[in-house]
Amino acid sequence: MGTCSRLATMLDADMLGRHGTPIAPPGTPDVDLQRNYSKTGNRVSWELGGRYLVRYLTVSQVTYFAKGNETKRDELLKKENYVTPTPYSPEEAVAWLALPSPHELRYYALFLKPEIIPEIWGPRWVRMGGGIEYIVPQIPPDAMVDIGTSPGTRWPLLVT
Amino acid sequence: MLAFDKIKGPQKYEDFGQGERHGSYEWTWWKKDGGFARFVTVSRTSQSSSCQVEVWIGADDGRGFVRHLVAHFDAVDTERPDEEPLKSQLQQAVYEGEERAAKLTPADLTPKQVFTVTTEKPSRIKAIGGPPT
Repeated sequence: MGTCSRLATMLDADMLGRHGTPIAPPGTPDVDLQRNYSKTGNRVSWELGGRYLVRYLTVSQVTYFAKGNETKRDELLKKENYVTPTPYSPEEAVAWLALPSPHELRYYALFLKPEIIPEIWGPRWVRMGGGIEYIVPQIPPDAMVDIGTSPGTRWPLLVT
Repeated sequence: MLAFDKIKGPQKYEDFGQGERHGSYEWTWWKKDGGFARFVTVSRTSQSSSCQVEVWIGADDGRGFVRHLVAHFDAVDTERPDEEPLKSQLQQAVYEGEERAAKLTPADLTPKQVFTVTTEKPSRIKAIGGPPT
C-alpha cells in the first residue's frame, strides 16, 4: 500500500507559508501557543484556504456522536482538542501526529469548520511526530460538519 | 474515568500541555536543553469499558525526533478504590521514563523528512484578499 503523508504535510506547510503563517516549533508549550499563536477561527479558515480541520476518533469515541449520547459528546467538545488540517490514513496518523495507543487505529474523523470556532491556537509542528496541529480550546457543536452518513451519526466519517 | 491528577510529573520538567489528542487524553511534561527538548507523556485511551494507560518518552530538536513507549497498562475506565496500585505503577513508570529520557542524545534522533516551505505570497493569494481581522 502506498502512502502520501509526507506529500500531504508538505503541501499544507506550503499553503500556510504562502499565506504568511508561521508554524510554531515543536518545542512550543500549549501556554505559549495560546499566548503567541492565538487567532480567530475566521483567520484560520483564511490561512487554510477555506478547508476544514480534522479531528480523528477512536472507534469507541464514535458512539459519543450517536443520538442519545449528547452528554458524552459535549464533554469531549468542551476539552482542549488537538486537530490537524492534514488528511492521513489511520496508520499514518499514528506516526505523524505522535498518537498514544498506536494499535488503536483512528478509523474515523470529524470535520470542523474553523470559521465557526471563536478561538484557535497554532499552527505548530507536532513534537515527536512531524505533522501540523492546532489546538481548539472549545469546539462549538455547530462547527462539526454534517456529512449525513446516517440519521443517528451524522458527523464521523470513516477514513478510507 | 481514570484520573491523572495524583500523578506527579518528572522532577525539573515543566508542564507542556494536556488535552484530547485524536482519541487519547494526553498529559505531557518537557525539559529544554538548548534546542534539544525531552518529553515525558502519560496518556489514557478509552475503549468501551476499559482504557489503555501509557507512558511515552522522546526528544525533538526540530530537525529530528525519537519516541519510545516506556510502559503500558490495561485498566478499568472508571474511578475505583482498587486503582491505587495502578497509580503507583504509573508513577514509577513516569520516573523510569524520566531516567530514560535523560539518556537521549541528538545521536538518537531520526531526521525528519525536511522540506523547504515558501514564504513568498503569490498573486493568487492576493486574489482572495488579506486575512480577516
